[in-house]
Amino acid sequence: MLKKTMFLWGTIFMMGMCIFLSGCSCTKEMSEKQDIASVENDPLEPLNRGVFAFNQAADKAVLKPVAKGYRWLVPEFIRKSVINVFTTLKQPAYFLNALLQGQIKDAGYVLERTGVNLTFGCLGLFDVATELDIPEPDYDFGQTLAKWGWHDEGPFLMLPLIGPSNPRDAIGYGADALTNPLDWRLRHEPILVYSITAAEGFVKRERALELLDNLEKSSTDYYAAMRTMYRQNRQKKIDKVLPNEAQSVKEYEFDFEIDEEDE
Amino acid sequence: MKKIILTLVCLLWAIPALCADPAIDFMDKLAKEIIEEGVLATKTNEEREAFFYEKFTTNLDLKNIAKQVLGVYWKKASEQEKQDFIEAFTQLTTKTWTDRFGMYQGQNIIFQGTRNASQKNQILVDSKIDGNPPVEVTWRLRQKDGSYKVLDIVIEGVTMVISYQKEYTAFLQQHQGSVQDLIDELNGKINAFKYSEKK
Repeated sequence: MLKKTMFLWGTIFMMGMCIFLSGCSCTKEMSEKQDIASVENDPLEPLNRGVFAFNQAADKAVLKPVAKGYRWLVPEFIRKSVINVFTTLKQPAYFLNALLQGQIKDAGYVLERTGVNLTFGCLGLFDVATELDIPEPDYDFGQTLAKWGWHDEGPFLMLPLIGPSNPRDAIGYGADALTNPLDWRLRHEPILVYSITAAEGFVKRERALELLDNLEKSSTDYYAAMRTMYRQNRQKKIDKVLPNEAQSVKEYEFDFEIDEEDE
Repeated sequence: MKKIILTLVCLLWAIPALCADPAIDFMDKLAKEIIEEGVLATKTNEEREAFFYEKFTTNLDLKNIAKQVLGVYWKKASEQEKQDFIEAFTQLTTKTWTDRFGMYQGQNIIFQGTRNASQKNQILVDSKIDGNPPVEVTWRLRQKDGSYKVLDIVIEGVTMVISYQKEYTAFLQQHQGSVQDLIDELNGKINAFKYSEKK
């Protein structure tokens, strides 16, 4: 439970800093920078960039080499099974969030998937449910909070070792982590819980090796690229659970101006 | 009676042709060419890159994409900078997507339908790439003189044009709005670009 307590305090600290920074008045130069930051809703940008640099350093020193070694050492079919097990462990969170959002049918699908994969899929090693075309709803608590009325995600946050987020989704992430059945089962074995969490990080990193490399080598500002891609993708997931009138359409319906001489 | 049946048969035969959507046809043809000729038939990265460069310059509305991507800085840039930016942007985008298509693992793309965009002569084509989970992709096309050009690709809510715009704006804000600095940075990226090794 220690990591969850630290995570929650970290989030509260970051949120406090957001409020403080967005409210302070500074010099002209500072206020110009704040104008830029306010367009991106990233009042903590200098701090966030620092955290991003730390995450990048940790990735280059540990996460990426281990992920590469894991790919080299472990055959693909086993790697797939490991991913399946980690996905199965997320099902309680999906189920609870589906219920909290009133999506009873989807909650049923989650139960069905879990039942099929735990039995016919040998305790989640094989994703038989997907082969049987059982839908895969993946609700999280960030979406639940949005559904309950917290529509505005708030300022951008770059969380240490976790990555891009915002106050609403950071709280959601922490709440979802509490539903992991392994964490409950092993609550008296914190080292084991940390090891499993780290292993999940390496497994996820292995899946994204090429994609993140591609993004990094083609970006002129990797932090800004990650920030906007995370936000847009997250907004799409949030929009899925909101009624039409509350959905954000600004990203889709942006004014794509065409050169008049080209008309 | 025979004539009526014959007419009905002819009408039934003609329905698919009448219903065919030219925007979907355009995207379907382009996707097939990219997969069959660009990804599966090419052997080296250089060969693939040359194919994509040709496809991008003929099927993408690069001038309007570049204008949108540079945002407020487009008007501030000189004609030479605009031309240099379009060329550098095209080259880096070509390398980026050549690399991404190198990760292709046989997924199918299904075009589902079209919607009108809020701007005139622009149309959105919805598609889905199969996989677990499937990936939703929307293509923004511009119609001009009966033909189409791609303006933007939206993958799972992430629009390429807005992403590039935000990224380049962040870069330009840190470089006193110098478009030349951005062009130099893009050229540096192009020269340093290394293709990923296959899985």
